Amino acid sequence: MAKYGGWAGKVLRVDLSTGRIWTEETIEKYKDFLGGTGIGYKVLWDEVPSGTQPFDPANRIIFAVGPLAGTGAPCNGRTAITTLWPTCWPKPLVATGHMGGQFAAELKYAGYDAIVIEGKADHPVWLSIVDSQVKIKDARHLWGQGIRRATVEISQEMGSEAAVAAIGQAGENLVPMSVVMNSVSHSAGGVGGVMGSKNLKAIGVRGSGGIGIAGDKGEWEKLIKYHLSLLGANNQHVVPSTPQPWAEYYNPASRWVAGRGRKWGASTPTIETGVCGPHDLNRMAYRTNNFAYFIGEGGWQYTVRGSGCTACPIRCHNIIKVPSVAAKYNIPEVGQNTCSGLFFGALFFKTFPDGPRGQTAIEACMVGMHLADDLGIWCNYSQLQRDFQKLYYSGMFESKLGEKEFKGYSWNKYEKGDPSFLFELLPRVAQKEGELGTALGLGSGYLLERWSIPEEDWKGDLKTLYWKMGHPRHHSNDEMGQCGVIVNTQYNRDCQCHSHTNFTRNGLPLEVQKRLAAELWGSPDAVDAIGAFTPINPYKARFAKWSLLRKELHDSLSLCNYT
Amino acid sequence: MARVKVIRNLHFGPQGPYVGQHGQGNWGNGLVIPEVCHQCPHPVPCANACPNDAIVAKPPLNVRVVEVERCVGCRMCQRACPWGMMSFDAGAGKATKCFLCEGKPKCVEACPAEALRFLPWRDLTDKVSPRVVPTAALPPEKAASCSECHKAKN
Repeated sequence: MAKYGGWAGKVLRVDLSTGRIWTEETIEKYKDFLGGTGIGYKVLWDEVPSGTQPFDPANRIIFAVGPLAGTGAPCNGRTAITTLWPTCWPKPLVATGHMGGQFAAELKYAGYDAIVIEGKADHPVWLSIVDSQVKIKDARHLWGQGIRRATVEISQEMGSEAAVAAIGQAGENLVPMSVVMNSVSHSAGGVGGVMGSKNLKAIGVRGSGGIGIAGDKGEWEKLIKYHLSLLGANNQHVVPSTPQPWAEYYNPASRWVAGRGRKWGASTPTIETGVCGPHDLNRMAYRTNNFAYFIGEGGWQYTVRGSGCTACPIRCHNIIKVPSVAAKYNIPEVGQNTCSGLFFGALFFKTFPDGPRGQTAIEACMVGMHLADDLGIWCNYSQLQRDFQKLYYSGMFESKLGEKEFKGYSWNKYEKGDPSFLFELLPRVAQKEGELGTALGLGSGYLLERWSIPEEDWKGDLKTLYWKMGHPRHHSNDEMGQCGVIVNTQYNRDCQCHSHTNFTRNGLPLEVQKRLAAELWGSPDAVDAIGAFTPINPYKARFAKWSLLRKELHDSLSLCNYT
Repeated sequence: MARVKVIRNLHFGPQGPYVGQHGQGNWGNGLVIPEVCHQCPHPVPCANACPNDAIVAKPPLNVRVVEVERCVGCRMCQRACPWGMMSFDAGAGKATKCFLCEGKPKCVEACPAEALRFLPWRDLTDKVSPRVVPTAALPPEKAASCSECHKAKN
């Protein structure tokens, strides 16, 4: 038999109903599906009959990575999670989520390409994986605790190197809008309730192995360096956001925000990002600062540093330090996440007293992360927050909650943009407390159904970004024309595909993009200017096909399709 | 397996998980401390502990390396290193450690944040403050020898 590198070799199988633990051979059974979502889809296709509900013991939840996870290949820190999807409306279908952090690499070092979990334990448990030693352990002392407490306790038992993926109270309570989270800030949305329905609080992994390389190691190293030399900043933006000596072009919408005078202001000592040219591979981590990208120049003073997943130089996560929140809200002054995760709290509010990017908005970010990333609440690409605003300001809460419950919330705080309002709201969502807490946690499709709101009301209001089946559009016709639409039709939740948008938003002028598009997809007509769309043509279809294949390949190999 | 030690400090810092969220690392204040082999000048604890003299100084850099043929896999070196920098290749049954990659350390080459550097000790001397500002007046012929190892402070 040929010698295979990359794959760890085993798929771990766990039946929580019977306590049985066994393994399958990855190469023998799943080689053609590579890994990641490939293995996930295959298992669900083979083993789970249609009609199975997400919270049934017969549903599988598959944590899978590919042959590149845990190697030196850039951006390989992602774990794909495949299961029957609780927020998929009107009936649950198969979908996937992804989480970054350190879990993927540790799983490979422990000797596994995937974990398939089925059944339901008769009491709360957590799964301990230390190389070939796999145990189902009692988690009753962790149940009812948040993600942080569970992670710290399991790390104390397993050692400082362990990667721990845990659910919070939201997942325990089978709230469909819930996550599983590892390494502080890296979450996979939508699947927390599936773990909760199996009484599975967490998975802890420690691995002492390595990953074999079948080919020539010198060639592998050269390939990695070549790949690194092609990488841009976050989302593969390849021009700087301000004029820089190394670049012909610049684009204010680019995430390559480094420059002289732009410093990680909350680190000790402060660290200048400076001129980060594309050939300086030792300064790639300074190119991106998503917090400053969204909040503006004022974000630099709160930035401790970039953070992110194993083997990824992009560092799309931020650690931010906001001293004022400690005394004001009794929360830690340090927080960490990226993009929608970073802005989870701020996006609920229509307005803040000092504007959308002021101090209060930043405090709302901190309060939001503190609560949501411990309770384990999902935002569904910020659909939760958009729904909340629309429902409140159209008077729907007032009519649906009943007077007593409605009066139990400090709506004046909400309207003023007081971040402390989140302390009233988010725990109730995690605990399914009251009509509002219950309805918000269902996901948009079931929420609209429960409150007898026609789906057309949401579809017709473009500001909601609502698309279909209970989920939003994700780089669809809102910015990618027909290509985006085709991509978005292919999934049972928001498409989570960044192949297409990473290309068109890379910051290069349109004429350069068109020249590249001609090489890649046969004609410059494959791409339009954003917002100035032209009729469909075969080249756009090729672009859509390229985007989909690239995403599925990334999700199976496994590499990050976002970054 | 990596000889540069990062993951053990990444989550909680060198103090480990019993500091919870009050230490360093991603769960604490954000500070990540990668640890590298000190290439101890003298004594060399890992070499001293080895019952088979399998750890030697290899010219031209005098890096302390494991001579694989002599290693019997007893792991005494792991117990001897005060900084826990020895690794063990379970597949081969042999100790392994940082060998500075023949003078071009790969970890330094790979770090996207320039957090690891490999440079002559002399090039650091202008960045480390002395305890006392030297005020003794030295005869010029003796003073010149200082600059063999020390850069003038800017």
